[in-house]
Amino acid sequence: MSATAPARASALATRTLWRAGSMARRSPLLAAGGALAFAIVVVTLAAPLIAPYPADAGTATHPAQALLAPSAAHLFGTDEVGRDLFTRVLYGGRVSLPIAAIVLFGSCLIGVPLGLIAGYFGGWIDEVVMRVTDVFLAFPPLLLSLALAAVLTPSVKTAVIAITATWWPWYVRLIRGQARAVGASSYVETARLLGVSTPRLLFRHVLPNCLTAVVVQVSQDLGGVILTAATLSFLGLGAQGPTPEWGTLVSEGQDYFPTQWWLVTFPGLAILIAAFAFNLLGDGTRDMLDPKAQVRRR
Amino acid sequence: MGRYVTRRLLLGLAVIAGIVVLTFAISRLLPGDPAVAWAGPRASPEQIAQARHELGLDTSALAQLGRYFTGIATGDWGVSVHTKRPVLDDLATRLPASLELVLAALVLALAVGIPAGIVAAHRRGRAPDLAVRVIGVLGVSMPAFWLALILQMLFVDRLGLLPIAGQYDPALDQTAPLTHVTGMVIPDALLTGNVAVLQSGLEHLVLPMLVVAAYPTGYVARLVRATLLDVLGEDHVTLARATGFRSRTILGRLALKPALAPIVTVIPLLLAFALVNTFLVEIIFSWPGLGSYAAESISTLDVPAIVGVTLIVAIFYVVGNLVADLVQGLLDPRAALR
Repeated sequence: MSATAPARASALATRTLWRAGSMARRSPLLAAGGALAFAIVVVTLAAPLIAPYPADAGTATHPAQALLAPSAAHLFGTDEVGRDLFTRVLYGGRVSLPIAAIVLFGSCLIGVPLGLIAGYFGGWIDEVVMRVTDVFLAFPPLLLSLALAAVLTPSVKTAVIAITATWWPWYVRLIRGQARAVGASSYVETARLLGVSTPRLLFRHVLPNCLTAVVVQVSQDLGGVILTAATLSFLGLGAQGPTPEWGTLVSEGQDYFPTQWWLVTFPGLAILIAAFAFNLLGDGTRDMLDPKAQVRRR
Repeated sequence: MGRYVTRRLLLGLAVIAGIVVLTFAISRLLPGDPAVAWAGPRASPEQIAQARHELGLDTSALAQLGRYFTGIATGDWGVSVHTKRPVLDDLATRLPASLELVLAALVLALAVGIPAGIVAAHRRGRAPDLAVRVIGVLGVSMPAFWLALILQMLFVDRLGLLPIAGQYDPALDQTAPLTHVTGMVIPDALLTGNVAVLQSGLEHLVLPMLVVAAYPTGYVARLVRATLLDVLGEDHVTLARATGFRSRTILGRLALKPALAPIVTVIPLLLAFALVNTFLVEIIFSWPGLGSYAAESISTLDVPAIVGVTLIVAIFYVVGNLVADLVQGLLDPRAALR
């Protein structure tokens, strides 16, 4: 047993590598997006280990080193109080990525049950849920977020609430369509005739068949939420200094732009790369899981 | 079709009514007492009470909502606190500038995105396809505010090629004043033959237009590629290929028309979406449109103005959706039955 365990592990590793390799050949963009997104998550988690000056993520000040241009000691330069920008950009992911995760989790929590009920039961329930959803859909995310952020005091929490408030309707729409199709299928019909209770029918038979669509949608939305959160922070409606959020960093750097160009350039580049990585990953995931897209790829 | 149109129109009206209720709720939640803001900083308690009465703030919430509804419906959207002008007049002067920017950006997005998508689908899996897909994803991942700042740095600060902000050189108001026809600078300059303003206007338009166009260009390229590949996978195309038609003929004669239908339906939505995206760009480029107006209103907590902007953009969204649905119904009669 103990002799075979390493062999088995290495066989598993070989197989995983081989699979990853064959996937990379079939869909290079998915592989690139996946690798980039994975790298971003690892770097974000390991920020305290990688960052050259972890104390600079907070309120540390080094007046003697203020506004230094990028150099070997400070890869991305330093800000107006002498904090290392590379450190702050690394720590920025620790704000943006959790925001994206919480917003999408919250949107699913609201959108999936509503969509399930609207799609499965149909009739007036469907009509009411969908019209309310339409009202929220008609609100451009940025605008509702602006209005909400004006009501609540700006903070990461406010930004999360504001973005979630505009994001959940998309999940209602998505799940409603799925639930309608699955609810009308003959196996659900059969289960209903056999006397399976409605909640059990919904959660054991209809919901699992909608989950692929949810996974695809979440993977496609990650980049968009990161972008929206950064935009709100840029407008001063999200994370507040000294929290090193990417959008906040760009906004703070604007005062020294374009002379101290690095203060805007690097945090913005971080937003672009993160959104790009997750969007690539999302596209690839859709191509892989969406049967219609599979035909297309053939 | 007639029943479908009526149903969609009624639903659109219902959604707009819902939006009015929602903006009313938001305006009630916004900090600050509108009566105090209205009466001014040196108002006596009596004057504030007077303002409260004039604004109808001493009646019940339901009565206020009723007043609010009739006001919106009859064109009385309240008076802006910071410009002291009717909100609807403010919106009317600001909207053309935003529309000009958005329309220019959309034209650019379609002119670049459609051919790019066609090339990608035609050379699927090859280098051009990969390039278009990567650039398309970059376009939809681009933080607009950042791109605006970077372009300003490159083209204004470092190269000195383009003006930094505004819609045209204000000095021209003295030498070559622009006659207003549509309220949009470039169409007006063209209509009145004002070459100086036209040139200045185009120079000012380039950078903001590029920034606003980034997202729709990426979106259109990806959409055209995907739908074209869908059509190319269908049986009648395979038959045409087997019969020996050249792939260029198949692409141009058979595949392009059905593949472009989704683009037509998505244009109204892209327009509405770009209108909001424009806000950030307008703030950075001091473009005198709705976005700058919204920013000014938010910084002064000007409730009627904020609500007005929200409402007009939401109406654009609803109308955009409606137009998209109706066009879809025209292009594909099956959609009307769903």
